[in-house]
Amino acid sequence: MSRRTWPAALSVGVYQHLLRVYPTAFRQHYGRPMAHVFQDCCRAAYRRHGGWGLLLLWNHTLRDLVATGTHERLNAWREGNHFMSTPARIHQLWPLSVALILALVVTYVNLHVDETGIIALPIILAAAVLGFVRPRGAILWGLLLGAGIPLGQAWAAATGLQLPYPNSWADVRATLTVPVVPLLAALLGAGTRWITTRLTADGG
Amino acid sequence: MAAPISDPDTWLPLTPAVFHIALALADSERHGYGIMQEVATRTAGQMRLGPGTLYGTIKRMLADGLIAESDERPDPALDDERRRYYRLTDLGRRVAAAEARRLARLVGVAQDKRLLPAGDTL
Repeated sequence: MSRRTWPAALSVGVYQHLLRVYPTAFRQHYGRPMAHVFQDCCRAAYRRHGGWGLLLLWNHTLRDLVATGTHERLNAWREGNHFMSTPARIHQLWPLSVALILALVVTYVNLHVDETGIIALPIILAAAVLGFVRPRGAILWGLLLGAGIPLGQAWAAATGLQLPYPNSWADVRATLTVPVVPLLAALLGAGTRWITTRLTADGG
Repeated sequence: MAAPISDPDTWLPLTPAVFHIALALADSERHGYGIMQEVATRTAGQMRLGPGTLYGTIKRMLADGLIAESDERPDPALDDERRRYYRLTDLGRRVAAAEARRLARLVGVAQDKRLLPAGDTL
């Protein structure tokens, strides 16, 4: 990279990172040619108009990126829904099922202070296991499992189920902060998976 | 992938990006940047395809059977082998021709209504 062309090279590097706005499948197939085309555009714009040419190109490219990135994401989401009926996709729904079942358990188990740990333990363990098995969805599963606790209690209150907990503002605050614990557990599981993978790869 | 629909009229109207890409490929095979340059040149810079629009449209045209990746490569000395070349399929050519006829009929209507002088296609 010469001193004269570094702005163009920098632009290409930034654009390659921005390609993450596209769905993985699209990026895997078209990411390289798109970066290649953008590189050609950068060189041409910089050769003709210098830095101003690059700015104009970025103005056009960013609008293109946002519009088409959103479009491709929506397409991928629609196609994902279409394939929801396949066994492979159903298999991916099981962590969500675990989260919903635990939320129902939290709702209908008559919680007492000394039993909280009994309920909390499977939730935290489930979050850690889900984080380990599906590290890319760790935050989602952690939040889903954590959200099950206050949602369950809200549901119970709405349906008239008498729960001994929460019965004070401190309990309410505790209930709202409890979802953080499964989230941390899920991230711990994902971190463990990452370390295990790295160690296995280094060992192999 | 579903079988392509063979009746060109069922594809109409084409989006501007699809029609411009089809026009760019009507006379020769081109790679992505070549298509982009051809469109910008032919429209005097009025139509500029960004990389996302270009490859998003190419993806859909490939899936619909309107274009295909070309197996033939130009002289390697003259070209970057990483580039993918695209060509218009027979179906793509018929669909582009049908769109051109549709637009020509619209121009005729505009001329009849004196929005455009007769014989003026610009």
